[in-house]
Amino acid sequence: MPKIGASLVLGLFLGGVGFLPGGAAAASALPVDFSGVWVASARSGDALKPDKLHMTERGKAALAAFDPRHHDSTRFCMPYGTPRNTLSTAPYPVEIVQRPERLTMIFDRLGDVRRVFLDGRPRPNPLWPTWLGHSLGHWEGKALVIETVAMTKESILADNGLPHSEDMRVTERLSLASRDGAQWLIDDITITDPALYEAPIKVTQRFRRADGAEMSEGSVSCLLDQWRQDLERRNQTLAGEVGAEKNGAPP
Amino acid sequence: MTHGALARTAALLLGLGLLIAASVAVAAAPPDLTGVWMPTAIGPDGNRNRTWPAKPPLLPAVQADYDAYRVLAAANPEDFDSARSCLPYIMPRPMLVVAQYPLEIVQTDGRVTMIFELHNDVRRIYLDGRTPPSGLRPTWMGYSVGHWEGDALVVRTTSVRDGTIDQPHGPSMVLTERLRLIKDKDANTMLEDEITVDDLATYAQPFTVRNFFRQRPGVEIGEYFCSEDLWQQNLSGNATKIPWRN
Amino acid sequence: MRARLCGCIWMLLTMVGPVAAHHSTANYDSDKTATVTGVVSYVSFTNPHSFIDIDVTAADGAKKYKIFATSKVALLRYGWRPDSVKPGDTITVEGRPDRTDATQLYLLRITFADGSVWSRDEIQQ
Repeated sequence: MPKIGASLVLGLFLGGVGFLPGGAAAASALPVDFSGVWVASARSGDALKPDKLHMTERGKAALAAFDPRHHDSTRFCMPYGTPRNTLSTAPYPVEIVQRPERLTMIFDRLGDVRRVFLDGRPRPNPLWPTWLGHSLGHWEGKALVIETVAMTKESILADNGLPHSEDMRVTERLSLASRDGAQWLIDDITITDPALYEAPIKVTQRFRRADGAEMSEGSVSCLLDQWRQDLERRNQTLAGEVGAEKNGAPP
Repeated sequence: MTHGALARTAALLLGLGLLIAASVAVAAAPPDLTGVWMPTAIGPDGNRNRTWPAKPPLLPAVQADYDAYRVLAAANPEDFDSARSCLPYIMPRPMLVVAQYPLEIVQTDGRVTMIFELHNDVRRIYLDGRTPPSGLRPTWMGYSVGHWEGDALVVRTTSVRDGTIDQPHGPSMVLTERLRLIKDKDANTMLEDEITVDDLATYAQPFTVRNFFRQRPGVEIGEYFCSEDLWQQNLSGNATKIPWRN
Repeated sequence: MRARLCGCIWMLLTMVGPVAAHHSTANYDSDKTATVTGVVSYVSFTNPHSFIDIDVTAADGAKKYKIFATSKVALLRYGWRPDSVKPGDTITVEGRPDRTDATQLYLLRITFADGSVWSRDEIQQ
């Protein structure tokens, strides 16, 4: 009997050696794979209430100047921006596509795309502020630590208009957890912006795995509304000039 | 042969069989298309490449509308400036962009994800063997499933929205696409995308178009949010005329 | 049998989608160039196109010009900074005039307020 076992072990060993350089390599290079579709459990931006935050005088003045009609990018089909995309994405899904050298987050609502570089690259110089910011990630065991800087001050932190400066720094710790038979993605977020907030803001956003959730086409529904308004405006002019007749409803 | 010897031989053969199968799998591992790819109007042979036929085989009724559009567009170029809409391009157009707006390919297990700088659009190609669901609402990117055939990623796309007047197509269009890494005449790597358009309700016969891409070092997808002009005007309070919007 | 596409203008307009990635350049005179110097009053450094409003003082009085340039992503990729042009800057622009409105120019070359020069040739094709 032992001789049969030895042969089988030898055979399987040879087979296993053959397998190693193949598809297993990519997966084994990821300490944790966050790939999949996730739905946030709540809009944790609601936890960002101004009276609970110690804002500097400059911060309070910026918040007082907030006008939702003019200062909320999402009303213009512009992105949420980081970190509002992570904080306010519920109930819309976010899809994560992860490779060893970069993790990509595609937010379904308005189509924010965050790229987290895991390849050890330095910050670009110069580094202009952008809506999604510049994110570098590194592993600490089974947690992915993401540092994001250079976010445009044209974005806000939450629907209530909480401001941030261009010097804001967002640190996140991503990890997986199992609870109640479901898989969760935990994102511990720390927002540091001493110009406007006397203390760092700490929020945890929890996402439940939802791989069957349907992803829509990003900002399309917003842009369609914008397109229709533009078309009506132009066709009122054009109809007058050309005398064209409408024949059927717009698409 | 004794019972034990037979068993040992079988075990060894099983192991060797696994090894051979594994070697075959490793040798046939598909190429990795991951990267940021910049379109190029110059094909691998150094000649300019057309991404849409000068005279596509339109059915006569569609040709009439197309000709009428060409007349209107020539007379009113501003009105037919499509970029004002900010809406996504409709397949196959996102793959046929020649202007210097890159496309990012992220290849992972069972999936290829494409992110287009124009207009921050996302295309998903499923490689997990699924069949497209029935009753799908047509979308700008359509629904894409693919598989590898040797070094080519073969993709079938259906459920695409109606095309635009200059690249018309209807709901029954099927796109069959082959994506491959190739070498140009100077042995530099290019990405070739070959797309066959099959829509017998619009075109008399299927036809094939191609586009080519190169990687440029250090290029990442930029932020292209094309209602930014309205946003900036709103922030500034300036009432200046935005020419492509009026 | 008539195809599903209707021949009327309304449907044509609503069916119109992307023709070209950029603002149509067909309405700019490809034979002429004009050069103007002025003070910037507004900058739209944006996608899909950028434009700059400048006040030009000519012999026959002050005129407002609109200067068109390509998208922000392209300009940033090929040499511009977000603050390359700001209201209040004095810039010199060489461009192709619009066929029907000579105060609209498509940017070929610009001298920024700091004296540096950028040309459209910098954009690799």
